[in-house]
Amino acid sequence: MIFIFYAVILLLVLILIKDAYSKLHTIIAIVFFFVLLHFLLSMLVIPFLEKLLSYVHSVPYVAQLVYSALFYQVGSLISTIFEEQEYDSIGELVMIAVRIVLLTYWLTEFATVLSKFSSILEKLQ
Amino acid sequence: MNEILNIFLDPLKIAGQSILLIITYTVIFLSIEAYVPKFKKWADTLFIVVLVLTLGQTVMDAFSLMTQLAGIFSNFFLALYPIIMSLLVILNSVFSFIAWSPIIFFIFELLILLCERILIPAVSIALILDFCTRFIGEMSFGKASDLIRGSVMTIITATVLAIVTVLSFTGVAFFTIDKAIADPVKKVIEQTIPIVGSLIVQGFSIFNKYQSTATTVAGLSAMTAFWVAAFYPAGKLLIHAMTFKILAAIIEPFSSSTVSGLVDDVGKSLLVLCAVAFLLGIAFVFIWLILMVMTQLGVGKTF
Repeated sequence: MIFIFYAVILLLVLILIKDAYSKLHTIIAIVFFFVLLHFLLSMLVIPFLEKLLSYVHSVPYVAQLVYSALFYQVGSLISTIFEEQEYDSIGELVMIAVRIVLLTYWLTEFATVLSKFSSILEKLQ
Repeated sequence: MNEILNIFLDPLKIAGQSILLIITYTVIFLSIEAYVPKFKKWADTLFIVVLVLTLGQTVMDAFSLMTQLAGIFSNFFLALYPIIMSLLVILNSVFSFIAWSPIIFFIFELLILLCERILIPAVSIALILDFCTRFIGEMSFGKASDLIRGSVMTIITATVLAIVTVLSFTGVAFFTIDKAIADPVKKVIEQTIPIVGSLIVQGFSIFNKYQSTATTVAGLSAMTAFWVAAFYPAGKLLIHAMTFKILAAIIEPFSSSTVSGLVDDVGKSLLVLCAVAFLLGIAFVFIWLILMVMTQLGVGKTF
């Protein structure tokens, strides 16, 4: 609930700034976005994830899954920031970077299984 | 005693563990999709990756178990042939009686070769094809893997039929046993276990002929030990395969058809592998039974 109040107050401040001093408006909007993102992560998302992970701490790969979903979401939020400023191509670059990071991580996890499987295939020959 | 119990409990433990694991993953993925809807495409792929990472070990264990088993059996048979053959020569009075032995040995040798060189690689290739079908999406190798599994099952059934035919043709069926008790049990097994059920029943009916004679030689406990040793791998694989089938049934309503289809396909492949292990088990028990019968003949007992 507190987060929604914060968001509404910041929205009001933004509208005020837009009317009073429109030249600085976009920069302050981006700053406010990161402030809100910080609040969201530290107040809601991270505590929620920790609670979720504490229930399933013995199950492997849950933490990696949850955090890669979070990482993807943050990446897509930042890319929408770029798109709002009409820098669509830079936003796409951010998304590509996010995808590559996720792929690299999961590929290294997967590589051990692949090498094991190929060793079994070698045994069969 | 504890260790023996563990041998039987371990596959069940793994089965329960993987069922719990999959239920947790389904819940996690459902909650991730609820919070991050954009992640759905990735989540579907990651679900498969996580399945492979966690349950892959079980499948690998199953395959390495089978390769080890085939190796052990081929060594074992090779070691046993000279003994049986020398027994044949020493007991030349009964040589005519068991004149079918060379054919049986030929069939067993062929069986081992078949398992080691063709059946197990074929099942693993079917598994890889299934994985590619589900993972790549646009390309489907489903027909190919079904074909491979079907032909492997055909080969297995044909081999079992060949063993039965040769045995009854050459007049081994001189040990008669009352089948009235065994029949209802067989029907139940045949109907409850999907693919391999009829195979197991077929095997039982072969052993019925031998069981009574061999038991008098080796004693009941020793016979039980042989049975357990021969069919423990097959039973373990059967539990693994049924686990995958159950998992596919559990997750089907909650996840994409890709994931449940992959799990189901893995279950099918493991069932075929279980049939291969069962075939090896039949061969193993047969060799022992033949040895026992010959020893008995050599000692001079009559039936």
